[in-house]
Amino acid sequence: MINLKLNIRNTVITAIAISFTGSFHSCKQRDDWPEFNVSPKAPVEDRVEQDNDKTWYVQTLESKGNTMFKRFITDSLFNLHEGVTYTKIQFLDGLDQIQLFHVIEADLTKSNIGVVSMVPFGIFLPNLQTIPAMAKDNDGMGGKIIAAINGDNWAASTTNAYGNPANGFVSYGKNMKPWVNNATNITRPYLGVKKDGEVIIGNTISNTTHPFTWIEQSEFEHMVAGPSTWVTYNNLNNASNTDVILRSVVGLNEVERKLYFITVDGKRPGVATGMGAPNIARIIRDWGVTKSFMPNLHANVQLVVRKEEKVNNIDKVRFPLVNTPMTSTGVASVGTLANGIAIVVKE
Amino acid sequence: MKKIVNKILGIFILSIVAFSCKGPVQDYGELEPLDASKAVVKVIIGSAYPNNPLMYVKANGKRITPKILMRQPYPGGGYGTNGNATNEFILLDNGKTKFELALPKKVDDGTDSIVYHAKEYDLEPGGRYTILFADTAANTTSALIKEDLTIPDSATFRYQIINIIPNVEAVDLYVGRWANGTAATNHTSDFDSLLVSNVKYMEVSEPFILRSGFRRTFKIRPHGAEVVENNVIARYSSSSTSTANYFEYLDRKVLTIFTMGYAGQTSSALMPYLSFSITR
Repeated sequence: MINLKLNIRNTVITAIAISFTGSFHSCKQRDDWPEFNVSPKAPVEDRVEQDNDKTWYVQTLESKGNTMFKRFITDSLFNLHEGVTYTKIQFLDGLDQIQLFHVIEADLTKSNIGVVSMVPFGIFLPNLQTIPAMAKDNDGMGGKIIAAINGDNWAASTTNAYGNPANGFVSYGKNMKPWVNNATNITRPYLGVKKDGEVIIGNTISNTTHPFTWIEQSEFEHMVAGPSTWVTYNNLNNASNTDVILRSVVGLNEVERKLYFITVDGKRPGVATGMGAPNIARIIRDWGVTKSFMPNLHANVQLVVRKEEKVNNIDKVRFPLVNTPMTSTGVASVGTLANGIAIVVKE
Repeated sequence: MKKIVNKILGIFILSIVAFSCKGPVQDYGELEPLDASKAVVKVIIGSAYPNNPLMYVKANGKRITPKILMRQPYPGGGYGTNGNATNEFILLDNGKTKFELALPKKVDDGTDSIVYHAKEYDLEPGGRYTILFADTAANTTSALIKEDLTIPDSATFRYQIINIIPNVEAVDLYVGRWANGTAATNHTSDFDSLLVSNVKYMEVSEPFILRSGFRRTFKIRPHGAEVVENNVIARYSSSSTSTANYFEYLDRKVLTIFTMGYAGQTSSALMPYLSFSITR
């Protein structure tokens, strides 16, 4: 019996000793790493990074001494198609907050570049869908989708309003959400594509100070309206929506006929803070965006670009998100939407 | 002492190895594999009685269903039915087969209390069918419709519709915006689209394909009726709750839509229904 006790004690002591020695061994630093022969990645077709200089966006903000652009961190520009670019810009803003902007620019003077609205599932029945899936289901309807952004806010109602966008909506000439000329609706901005193809941002910030002419929905082939959150309106900037959050912006440079889809990442510590609308206005005004509005927030802020690839020798098209949608509390989440806007190459 | 412990441990480990190597159960009982000569049949009782009785169906004098309710595709089931949500069939021999719809006795002794309907159909070798019984008592009738078990393309469902509402000559099938429940006040006709027109009593439509994966409401109206909610005979929203939305999450299904009950009735046993039997 005594022998058995001794055996057990010896076994326990040996186990402890082995573990102790092992713990030292696990801390040992390796110094025998082989040298890796890393060759630079070949540039991806159609996504060629143009050069090592700062992009036009950064140069413009710096040359104009934009107070919301304190220090450049990094940027990348990708040609998605002739006349359509995607630029990603990270910088320190005037409040020493790190910011990450995603900017799609489309040259509307090019005859083959168009703008269309998107309906969930590519079906003219009110519904909800994420923008990556919606872009895939709408691809080819009005041309080849190059990039797309989220649309309006919507009703989650389980009665007969399910999938209703909050404001007016026309898609391929079909009136998906009628609205009327009243005091509320006239201050709600929209992106409209008239039957003749003209792209406008319509309505006014105030009919008193900035009178305008109401355009009936029947005159539009596409119309996606937003909430009453203008970002820039002619020479005016938004001065009230100051919450530091994710935001999406649809804007027009009316002089140069350039359309912008912009998303501002946020709620990502060390990567992106988020911005209030007035500060976004200060940035994009220097880019010449004279009229712009903010269709949605948080997890509904979604910007996608076309990605073509071969999988098992079969051509596949995807529309991955380039931004990172997050909830108001900073949880990664991709919301479902009642509509969207896409830049297309007409076929 | 140590040796004894080692021996016991060794026997224990060997036992584990020996038991773990035992082969799977081989005996599945008597199996009747499906071959080209067999036919498969699904049963739907559409005879709506006020007391909602259990009934059964016989083929060549032999019960092929347990006692089942009306609106309960058997075997399997479907959406908007009294059954499950699976897609089984009954295996039968091909050839002339007499189907009977019968009511069991109060204490079921295996004999029929009432045989409501009996009709002989010729089942083709390899045939796939659904047999539907409609109307009540002496007016009970039946229809044998063919089913296509091939799987539709991805992102689609394939449907066909049969109308077995006795007091509606023909119906039109619409699809419209999703809303919760079946109450007319929840629904709107704004986005209704006509899918199939003029489906006559006891007749089945041509198959049609619809995009899967999204919420919608199916509705039937009398053929040619104005597209307003007041004219809807029956409707089915693709989910009763947001977390159990079969139509939203499933793909590549084959469904036979059947409309039953009586237009104008409101009790749960007699009211009109729009239901989906799962073929595949």
